[in-house]
Amino acid sequence: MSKLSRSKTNFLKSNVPVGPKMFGRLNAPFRTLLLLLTVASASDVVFPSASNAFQSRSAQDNSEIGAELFPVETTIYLRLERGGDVVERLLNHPLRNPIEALDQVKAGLKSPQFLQFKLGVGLIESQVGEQWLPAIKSLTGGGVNVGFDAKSQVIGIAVKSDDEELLRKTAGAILGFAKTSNKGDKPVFEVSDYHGGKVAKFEKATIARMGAWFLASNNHAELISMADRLHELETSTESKQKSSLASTTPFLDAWQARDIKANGFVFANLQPLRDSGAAKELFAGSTDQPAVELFFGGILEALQEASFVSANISINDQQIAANVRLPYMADESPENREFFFGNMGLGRAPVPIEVPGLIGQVVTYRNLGSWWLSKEELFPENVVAQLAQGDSQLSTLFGGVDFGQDVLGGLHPEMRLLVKEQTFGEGIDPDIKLPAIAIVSRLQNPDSERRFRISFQSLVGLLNLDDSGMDRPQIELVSTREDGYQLTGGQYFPEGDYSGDLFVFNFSPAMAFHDDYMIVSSTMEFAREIAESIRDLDDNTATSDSNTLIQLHGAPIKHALAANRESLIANSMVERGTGRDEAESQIDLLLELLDYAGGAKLDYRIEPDAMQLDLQLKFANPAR
Amino acid sequence: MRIDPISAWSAWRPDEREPWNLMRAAHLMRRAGFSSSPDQLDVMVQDGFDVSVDRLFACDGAKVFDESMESTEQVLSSAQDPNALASWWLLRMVKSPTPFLEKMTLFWHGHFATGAEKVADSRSMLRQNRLLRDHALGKFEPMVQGISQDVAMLVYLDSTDNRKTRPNENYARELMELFCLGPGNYSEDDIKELARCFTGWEVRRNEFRFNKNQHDQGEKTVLGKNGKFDGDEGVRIVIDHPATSDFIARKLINFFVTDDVVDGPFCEPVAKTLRESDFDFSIAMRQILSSKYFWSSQCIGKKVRNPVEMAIGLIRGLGINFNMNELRDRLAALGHLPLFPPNVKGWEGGRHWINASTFIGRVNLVRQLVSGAPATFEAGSLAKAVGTRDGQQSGDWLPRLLDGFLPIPLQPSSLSSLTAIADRNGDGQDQRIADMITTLAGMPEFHLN
Repeated sequence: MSKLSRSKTNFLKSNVPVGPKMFGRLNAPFRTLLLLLTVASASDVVFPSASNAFQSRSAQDNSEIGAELFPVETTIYLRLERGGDVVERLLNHPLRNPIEALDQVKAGLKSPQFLQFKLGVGLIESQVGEQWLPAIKSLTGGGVNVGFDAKSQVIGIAVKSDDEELLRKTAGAILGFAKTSNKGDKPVFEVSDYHGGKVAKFEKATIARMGAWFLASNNHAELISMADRLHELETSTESKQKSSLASTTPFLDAWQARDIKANGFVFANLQPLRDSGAAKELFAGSTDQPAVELFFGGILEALQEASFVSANISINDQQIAANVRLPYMADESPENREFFFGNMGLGRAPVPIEVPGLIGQVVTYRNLGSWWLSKEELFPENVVAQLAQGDSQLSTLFGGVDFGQDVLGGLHPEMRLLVKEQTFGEGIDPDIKLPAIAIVSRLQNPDSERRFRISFQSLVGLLNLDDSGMDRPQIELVSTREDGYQLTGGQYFPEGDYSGDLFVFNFSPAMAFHDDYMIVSSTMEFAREIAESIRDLDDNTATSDSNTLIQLHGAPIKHALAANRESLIANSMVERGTGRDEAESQIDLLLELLDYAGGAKLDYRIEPDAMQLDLQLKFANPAR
Repeated sequence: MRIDPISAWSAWRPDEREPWNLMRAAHLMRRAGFSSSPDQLDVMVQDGFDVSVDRLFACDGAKVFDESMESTEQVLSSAQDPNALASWWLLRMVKSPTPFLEKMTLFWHGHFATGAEKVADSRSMLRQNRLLRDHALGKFEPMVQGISQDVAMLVYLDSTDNRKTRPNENYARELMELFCLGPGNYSEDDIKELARCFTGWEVRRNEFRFNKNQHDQGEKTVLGKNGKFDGDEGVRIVIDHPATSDFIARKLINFFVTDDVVDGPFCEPVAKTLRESDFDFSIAMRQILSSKYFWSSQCIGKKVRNPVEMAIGLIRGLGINFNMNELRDRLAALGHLPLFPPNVKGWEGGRHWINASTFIGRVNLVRQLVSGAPATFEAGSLAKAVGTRDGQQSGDWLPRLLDGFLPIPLQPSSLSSLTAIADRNGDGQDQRIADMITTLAGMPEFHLN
């Protein structure tokens, strides 16, 4: 039995008929492709196997070559290690079978387009005499390198194969296809010898095979430069780090800090990006949107100065993880952004609170008082004027005290935002079910609890006054002292035409206080749950190592979305202009796929010389 | 030229001179619906004129469709966003298996114009929309009685309070002037007396209620009739007035048949049908849609397509999946967004639909609908939607498409320019057809009905 027919991943094992009937089911371009590949495989039509300078060198000699092939001006560089392994891991992932069992996926796998794709892959397999997965593993075994220059829009690709012969056949098949599918009078590409390799120049791109290397670029001159650098590296005994991206200080910094076990490494040279004028708002160092400043002001600060940003990407059966690094000296941060970094960059978020069934939680270090009081230095005049107006109104609501100084300034510089699916009381079942949301902070002075509670009651009074004018139901206010905490909240009750399925019944606003903790929640039930979780903490003032930590949990997200299935279907119908059946199918697929989402975690840390961002996307436990 | 009303409204039958063909089937569906695809028109031609008209009134599939939309409208209305409800109604028009019923509902919405922005309660608007649909092809009195106690209507006309010491005349005035009689058929005293009939009618907590203590129990004189009338009786007196049948017949004819001003004698045969059928609109509409006048050259291609007819017609005709929120915004810019009439008189219609600004807007809307993203086609591509196959020249499919699109034939020079675009070299087939349809939208014939 041939290697091909034994393949677990061999596409030809499918029920696509082989022989004349198979040709009959194909469209014209595929029939042409089949013929082309047959011709291409019969002989070395384009890249004849020839002795050259590259054949004499082993793969190990230049296995670390990558960034050396790209110019110093390169803006973005990407290196993929063991790409074939990643593909294999995904194909063999335990989630593959359940995903393929989904009706919509099954239908897609039976579509004519996919069957044609499978057949095309099968044809290439037969051309190169190798199954596609081992072929990809071999062809990319020495790493895939991609460089991009934002200014000139030139892109270069350099892939090192473990198997020169396989690369020769594959390149031959590709060029053979290009050659025979050309219907014009002029040749579609021109082939020339260069440094013992072969270069094929197309109208808009150039590719080359240099020993075990495959090079490609949308710019001929750039490809020739890459080939020159490669030749020099292969034949010269001088330092490799000569006039290339690899010799630049930012790249060296990033490269030395990379995780060698990662599957991918990305480097972005920020100065050329800033010079190119791309994403100006990102590199402006400031924003006129107060909320953006509050959550991302420190990152904007770093992006306007940092020389590079780099990332390591890893994929395994359990998760996809990325570690992003942005150099920054936090202890030199400006005073007006101390609200973000803390003094000397030492601001740390509190530890997350454990509440069962949470959809997600954000814990962060933010000094709200400092942020508000720095508004004149952070924002343009028109924004400052708006904030000043808000300051005045909020000061009135809070009984005349200064909103920035006394209210926000009276909070510890730590915040927690918690989200959880809510349950509804009897007779209340809103058509659109919002999750409960709560913000938890700590009071510098626990005696200020009364001021916050009275302000909350005033706010409810204002809402009731407004609802009364509109002939709408009003909030009934309750205040209780529970075991260890004080709870003040309000609730709507269905009345007349205002049945419990209306949107407003998602809210029963509440405040709870435990020790110096203050909880502001969209529902009383959630405020109660959080207060009890805090009450039961051993150490409720502990801090984490992070500036900001975000956790999302897949199963509760799926559950919350499933509770809103009708709403999602309705919106899908309106937004896509389709009937109910199609919208149902789309939403149900989304919900089924969410079964396989375990959760996500984003950990943002400030270290002495850099910001680190760890992102993890976890798959659900397949055994579930 | 004076048209004989009796002859004009007598029954038309297809014959050799005026055969039942694709162009006539398209005329019927443009007026009594929102256009159909060429394949659906072929079915109508095969089934014949009588069956096609019967099918309009049978409303097959309405119940199943309503059930499939029920939870959607419930969810969208509970969000209390009237814009979302407008998108929902547009989707109904696109997907409904009973387009005639939707068209009638749109007509009654324009007649009993109520603005969602002022009502500010999606559920009340939804209830009114259902009320109009439920009675759209039924009888007039239940519809008017329902609309008289409709929360959205009463809120829109500032008539949520009506006390015996200070009768609110708003609804009484509009009932006579805009909904039943038309100007000149009542006096100011009639309005005052009718308003007394409605005393005690209130809206509380978004529900209609009758406050017996606030009702004026005294004797009233309305349109020459005396008695201790309540609100229901007041409505009945207005409907029974001879001017009502004439007024409603005229409005139906102006919406479905001609933009021209029509006089009382010309409308009398339709008004008579209304009176004799106790205002049964399925009978009156059958007379209108089967009349010689409706099928005459004086009528075909002589109306201006309103923006909703144009957009929904193109979407239904080509099987386009389009974002209804986007469509809603576009129609608002063209001045014809359902649930958002300009005032209590509804949309003026006719030639007012088109001016220099709205014409450009109409062409741009057509271009967006046929140019792909964010639109997709149920057939898979625009080329398939218009019925082409690989390698076909426009001569193979364009005539059939134009028969379905246009009420009157194009000038030869216009046809040549469309053919040149459709058959030009370069660009994909979808792009060429999209360009051709956009060019067609720039021609006057496209905007006629």
